[in-house]
Parts: sequence; C-alpha cells; structure tokens
Amino acid sequence: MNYDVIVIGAGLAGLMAAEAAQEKGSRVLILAKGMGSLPLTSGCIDALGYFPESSAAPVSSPLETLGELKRVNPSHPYSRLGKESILSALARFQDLTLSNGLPYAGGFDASVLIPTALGTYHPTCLVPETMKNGVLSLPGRVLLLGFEGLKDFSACLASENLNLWRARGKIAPSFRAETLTRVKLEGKALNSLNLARAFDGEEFREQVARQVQPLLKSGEKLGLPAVLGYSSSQSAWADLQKRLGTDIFEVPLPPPSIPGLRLYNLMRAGLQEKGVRVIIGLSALKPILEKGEIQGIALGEARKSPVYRASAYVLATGKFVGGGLDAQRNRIFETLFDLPVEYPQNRKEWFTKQLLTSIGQPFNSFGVEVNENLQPADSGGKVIYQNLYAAGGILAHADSMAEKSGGGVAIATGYVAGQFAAACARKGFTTEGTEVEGNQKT
Amino acid sequence: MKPNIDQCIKCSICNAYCPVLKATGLFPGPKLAGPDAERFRLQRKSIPLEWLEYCDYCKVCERVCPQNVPIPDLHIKSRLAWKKTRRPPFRDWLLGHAYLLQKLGSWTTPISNWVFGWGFFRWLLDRGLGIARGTPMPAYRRRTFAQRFKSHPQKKGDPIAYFHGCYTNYIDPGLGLAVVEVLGKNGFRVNLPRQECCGLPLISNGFFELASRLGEKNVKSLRKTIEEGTEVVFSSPSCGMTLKEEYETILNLPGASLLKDYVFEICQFLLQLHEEGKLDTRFQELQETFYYHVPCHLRALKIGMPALELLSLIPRLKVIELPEGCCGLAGSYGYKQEKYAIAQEVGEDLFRAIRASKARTVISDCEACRMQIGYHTGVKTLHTVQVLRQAYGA
Repeated sequence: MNYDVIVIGAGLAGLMAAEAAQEKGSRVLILAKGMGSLPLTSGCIDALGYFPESSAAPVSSPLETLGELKRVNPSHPYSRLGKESILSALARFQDLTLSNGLPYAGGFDASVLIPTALGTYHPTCLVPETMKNGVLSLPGRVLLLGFEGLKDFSACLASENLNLWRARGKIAPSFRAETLTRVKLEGKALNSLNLARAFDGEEFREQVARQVQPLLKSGEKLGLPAVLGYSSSQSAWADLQKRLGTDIFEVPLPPPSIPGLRLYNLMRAGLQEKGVRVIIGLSALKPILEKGEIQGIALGEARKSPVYRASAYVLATGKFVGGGLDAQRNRIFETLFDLPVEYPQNRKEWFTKQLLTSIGQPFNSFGVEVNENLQPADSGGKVIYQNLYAAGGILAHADSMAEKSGGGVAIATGYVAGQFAAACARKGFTTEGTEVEGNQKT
Repeated sequence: MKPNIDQCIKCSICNAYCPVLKATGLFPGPKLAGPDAERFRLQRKSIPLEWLEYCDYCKVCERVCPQNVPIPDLHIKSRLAWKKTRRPPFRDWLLGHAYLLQKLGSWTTPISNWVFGWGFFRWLLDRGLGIARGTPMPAYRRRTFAQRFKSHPQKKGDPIAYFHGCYTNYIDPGLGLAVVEVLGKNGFRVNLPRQECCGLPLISNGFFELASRLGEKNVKSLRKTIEEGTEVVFSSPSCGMTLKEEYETILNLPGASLLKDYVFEICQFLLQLHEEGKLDTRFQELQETFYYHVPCHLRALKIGMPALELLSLIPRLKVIELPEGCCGLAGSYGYKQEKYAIAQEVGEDLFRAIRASKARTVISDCEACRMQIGYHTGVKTLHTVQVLRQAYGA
C-alpha cells in the first residue's frame, strides 16, 4: 500500500501528473471520486482563447500572449510555470496521444477556431486530427450532416448559425445541412455513444457512406457530429474519408463527449499498462496529516478503512464541478485538505448577475494558492504541506470558462506537478530548491 | 429517505459508462431511469416502470458520478415501491430464492446436477419459466462447506468469524476451506456464525420483506459475534456489500450500522494484517501470469484493490489487471431469458480483453464473475485466496 506518488483526481491534470511521475520512475496510484471531467469537455485542448477575458476577439497566439498575461496576472498558473515548461508539457501530451493512435493537430503558438454543435465558434489550440479539417479559417463549402433522432446535434441549426458568422466575416467556410434518416442501431437508443460504437465497425461505415455519397456535391467537405468511432476513431475517420473521397471533420457535441471519453480511455489504459493503479468512486477520502506532511489517504471514514501511503501527493480535484471546491452560504473551501482559498468576504462579489457574461464569473477563478513549485501555500507564501503539489482546475487565478484555458492549464500544471512530486518522492520530503529536469529541457 | 436528486448536474457520465445502456435500447440509461424519472415518480406521474428492471445493479453509475448521486439506490428504492403494487412472476421468485434452490440442489446431488445438466430440462425451464438455457448452471455439492468445515482440523488461534455465503456453501466448498487455511496460516481459528442467505438475490428480484427477515437474522447473529469481540470476514464481495451497505441503506435494518466497522472483505483483512506486520509472507514462488478482474461489487465496497496488493507479495507471480468492466451476469440478471443476450453483450468487452490476452487463468473475487468469465472464455478461474493458499504451499 506504499507508493511513491499518489495523485488525487482523474481528470486531465491528474492523468498528466501520473504520466509525468511514472516517467520519472515513480510508483504511482490515482485515487478519484468520479471519472474526472474529461467526458464533459470537447476533447480539444484549449490553451488561451480570450485575453483579457472580456475581449471580443480570440487570442491569435497563446504563446505570444504569455508575456502580457504575466504582467497582468502574475499569479496565473501559466505565469507561475513559464513558457518552457508549458511547451514541454504540451509536446509530451502530443507525443503521448500520437503514439497511442489518437494524434492531436495544432500547437501552442496559434489558436484555431472550431465549430460547435450550436453553430458558434470556439477558440482552441490542439484538436484531435478528426477535427482538424473543420478549422474555420479554411475556406470552402461544407456539408453538415446530422442523424435523425440524435438529439444532441441539429445540422440545420448549426449550419444556419455558422452562415450568420460567415456573413459577418468572422469565419471562412459556407455551410449547408442534410439529415440522414434511417440509421439503424440494432434496436439500441440513438445517442452519441451508441453511434460512436457503431462507427467502429466497417460495415456500418460502409452503410453510412452509401447513404451520404448521393448527398455530397463535388468539392464539398463533410462535417459530422463527433461520433466517428469510440475506440478506433482515427482509423474510422481515415476510412470514411477514403470511402467518400473528401475531407471530413467532427463537430464536438454536448456531454458525454465522445472525444473527451476517447482521450480519457486512452490515457487511463496507457497508465494502467505501465503499472499505474487507478481507483475510482471514492466518495469519502480522508487524509492523514502529521508534522506538516501528508502521511497517507484513508479510503473512507469506517474503522480500519484501507490507507494508501506515498512520499508525495498531487491534488488535481478540479473546482466546483469536479468537487475539489465546495461552497456553503458564507464560505468557500477546498474539500480534501481544507487548504486556504481566497475569496471576497462579501458573498455578492462571488457572482456577476449575468450568467454567461464574457468577463467570467468571479467564483471560477477561486482556488488554491500555490508557489512557483506548485505547492499550496498560505497568503504569506508559506508552504502548507511539504509533500503536496496542486494542478489543474483547483489552482486559483485562472478562469477556464471565460479564458478558455482549461486543457492547457491542466496539461502544463499536471505534468510539472507530477515531475515535482516524483522528485520529492526520490529525495524525501525536502523540496526546497528541488530541480526538475524535465522543466529545463524544451 | 429518498436520496437528493438535485445533486445531479445532468452531465451524463453515468450514461457513458453504463454497460446495459450500451448493450440494449430497452434501458434508457441510469440518468433517465434514475434521477430524471425520479422527479416524475415523486409526483406520481407515469413513467415506464419496466425501465427499472433492466438495471443490472453493477453500480458503475454511482462510482463514476462526479457528484456522488446515489443512482443505484434510486433504482432499487423505486423498484421497491413498484413491486409493492404487483406480484413478481414465479421465475423471479425462484431466482430470488436461490438459496432454497441451492439447498435442495445440494441435498439431491447427483440427481439435481444430472437434471440441470440435461438439455431438455433447461429447454423446459427456458420455455416454461423464462430461465435462459444458455447461462451456466453451477454444479451443486452434496457435502456443503458447513459440513466439511466441522471435520476440518484447525489449530488454536485468535477467533475470526467467516460469512461464507450460499455459493461457497453449496457450490464451491473448496474456496471456504482455502479461506480457513489461509487464516489458519496467520494464526486465526475460524468459526462459522449462524448465517442465512445475505438476501441480495431477493432484493434484486423485489422480495424486500423476506430479504429483511433474513437480514435481521444475520444482523442479530453477526452482532452477537462482534460484541463477543470477534471480527467477521467474507469472501464474496456481493454478500459483503449487502451486509455492509444494503442492510443499512436499502433495507433500513436496525443495528446494521455496526457491521460496517467490523465486517471485512477477506483480502482487505489480510492486507491490514500485512500493514501491521502480522501477515505470514513466506510465500513460495509461483512462476505464473494471472489476470485479475475486479468485480463491480468489490469496487462498490470502496476498499481499493486489496487483492492486487496481496498478490504482489508472491514472488515471481505476475498479475495483470484486466480493463474495468462488468461481466454481465449480475447475480440472477443473466439467468433471465429476456436479459440473457444483454448480459452477454455487457460482458463482451471483458471477454474480448481476456481472449486477446491469451490468459489461461483469471482471478476474481466474485463467484458470479468467475462463472460468467469461465463460461464465456473457457479460462480457469480462481479466487484470490485460492492463489494465496497455493503460494503457502498447501
């Protein structure tokens, strides 16, 4: 029951932290309350979509905006990490997904706009290759194809809205819509998950291709909801492109998102193969604290609940949706270690009245304060637990909703926190001045 | 008390991982059948009640939920309300009362095994009662575990009580003896407290009253044992889950909360000994590669994966964890004709992984998983404790 590093949380940040620590030779265990929030995301990696948050135009290059971000928001997780760490973490992520058959296109140096299921545009950075042909700066004509009965996607709605954006000069391609009827799933409900599993099969793809071919005009690209395969999306996508002889792309859907699930399944399977254990569904973790350090995590409140111990810990439990933060009427708190969280005493300042305001909801920036080593610290900068690191959404000063920075922050801070934790586990508990090798290499 | 359905943020992660939803269109998924439909049920509006029948109670929805909505509790409690208004079919009565069937089967061995092995009889059961003829039917043993236990020699030691459950008693007494021997090796002297069927088959087939009656007897007997200062172990995760969780949350049995703190899964118990430095770790080398399947109900106990930790103590033994997934049998679920194909489809991902791995032996702590895996893949199956006994050289 002794590990080198225990990661708490199975979202993107937690999985990257586990990956980093495992690479450094640590024995790693992941403990999590639920499945992590990846299935709630588009599966794309947003790096920095809007800065400042209220700006109407998307950021064109997150990389070149880092300097300005650091000046305005020196406590932002990106500002803490610096350019080199962010780039090496994202590069590692791209290696990892590529070698596991789910390659991501794009880079931190340029934002891309992709279409959403409602027909708006979304700035992001890394997209699964199955989405890269849908980038909205590419001109041309697009046929958006829906499936009759698939509630999460209306091709008509999406294409009508996208054409409005085109008329305003925001995006390049033009859209038209068709809906496939008579798609049969052997009596199973027509939802994105069953559709994606069906697309894993060659026969089903052939059947769909036969139905689509007559609808497709020459020179048109084809946009489909993101259901092109559950376990073999890359080959399903390539196969369908070959059959139809045109570029195809996926449009992300509302949760549960297939591209998010693909990424989660791939990362979890990869970790498990390398001997990382993952225990999901632990609703009542209880830390064992002593002498300014974390000694272990008990899996429940009951007598003799199993205790897992490690030399170092990474906290990657997310904010309110993931369950890392919670709120009572007059208090916002971190749920596992009760780490200090800064927030205005006046409750009215937690929210703005407009739900979807572009400046973002203040509570989305609340979180745990950390030092440059990603160790949770109090307002005076004093480290709270010598062997604890934090990563991802739980970190304060980044509003992933308004900035569109969730994926990039999760990967970068997760990867670096995992490295710090591995180094801490190797050296014992003294982390002052710990050097993280991966941090220097580009 | 009804669990709080407002915790559900409609993220649908439960749907994404529900093995039944992916296998059939007859079940609308845990989100719709659970928290969504509950709003209608609370207002006594009509909702297709047979939805509830298709949940196989693997509890994965509860585990993956980021908000910890107790979805399986919602299902089972609504099923309770529904069952009050209608008589379950005889087939469900039979499957719910599996313990009686097993008792009878054990008494009448070898005739019972001969009858159950007879294709025509299974055909009759299939057509007449709706008990799927494809599902594996276990072979009963004439000498039950409880009988063999009486003549099994034991050394002196600290007392420990063992809740063996029906399957071990009537079908796999060898597992029970392995538990006794492994505990004996570590200085324990096993006793068998009075015990009835835990009641899970009754709960899942809608016989809550009888389940409560059996549960009350078990609580009384186990409380007595505990109050005498003896802890209790179990080797079947489903029985254990029922004792530790369902007695309190589903059946509301008075006094059941004590069981939570003093009843332990056997591997959790042994691992705890190891933590205290008291486990005999003089294991012999086992030059083998085994695969390990974590049963859904073991995951539901929220005790981690103690079997994997224990097995890693055996020199040279390589144990590979199979990808997470439900085997599909889910107690009596897979025996029902209308659900046989669903059960097989549910387990298909797991079976495929086992076939692809070229595994010869799969370890799993749950008897239903072992039966289903063995039947559909042809591999040999073992309980973790049987591997430990082998490594002790017994």
